Amino acid sequence: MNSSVQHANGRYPPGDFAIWIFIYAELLAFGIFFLSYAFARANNVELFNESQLLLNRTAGAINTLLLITGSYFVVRAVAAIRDDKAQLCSRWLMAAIMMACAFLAIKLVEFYTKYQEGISLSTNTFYMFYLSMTFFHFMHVILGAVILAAVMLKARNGAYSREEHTGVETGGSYWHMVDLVWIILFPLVYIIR
Amino acid sequence: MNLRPCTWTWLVLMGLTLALLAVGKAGLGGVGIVTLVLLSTLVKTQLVADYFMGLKRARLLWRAIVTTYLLLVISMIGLAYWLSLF
Repeated sequence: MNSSVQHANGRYPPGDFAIWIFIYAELLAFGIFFLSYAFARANNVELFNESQLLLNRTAGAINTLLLITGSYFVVRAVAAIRDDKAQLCSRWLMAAIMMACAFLAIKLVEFYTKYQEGISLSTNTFYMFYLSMTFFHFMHVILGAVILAAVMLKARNGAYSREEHTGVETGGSYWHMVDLVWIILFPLVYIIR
Repeated sequence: MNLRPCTWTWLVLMGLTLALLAVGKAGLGGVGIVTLVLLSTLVKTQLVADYFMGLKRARLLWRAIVTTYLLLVISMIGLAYWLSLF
């Protein structure tokens, strides 16, 4: 029994079993990052609050909207392949990849702006966390976009169907994890003060 | 309106994110605001887990792992914020 069918029976989450082990490991890594930031901030409140004011909250919020919308498009892609509509699935995936690319472009502008301002990992503790956490997440967005692109090409070539679409669900589950951790990261780093 | 659950989820997530931006733009802080921000983050992430990741239809264990993780991480962030006040 493939995992698509198993999911339909309400047993396993969508996608390959291995991706869920990977997702839980990634959540753990991000969780350690988040708590390290939160407790470091508790000891340097003024520094963190002052440094946070220099971040572009609008860019952070737009990036959140882009990731959420990308995740929504992936859900629609999975729904399309469950209806045996492979071409529609690939188009939803393409839309999700566009959201990922827009996120990466905005984040690159943010990184470049900070670089122009002479800010680096060694500037202070806040920026050490900000740059390392957001760059770590940035790399996950790149990986997620590459996975979605590979799945999109396979869907376009008719590799998935109503009966077998584990690959679409696996790529989608990974992408949702990337979205989920950003939903925590955004208020933690950009908003809470 | 006959919208899919995932579409409702998307709309709620977008709305909560815009509300969060308004809080950030206004420079609001303090225990009350941070509690609301963290509660909305918990709601948003659980919605993603349930309706985007599909954990609502999976066996309870798979969903419980993510829910426990979210409760732990978000409440610890709240604890760290509370400690920073002293």
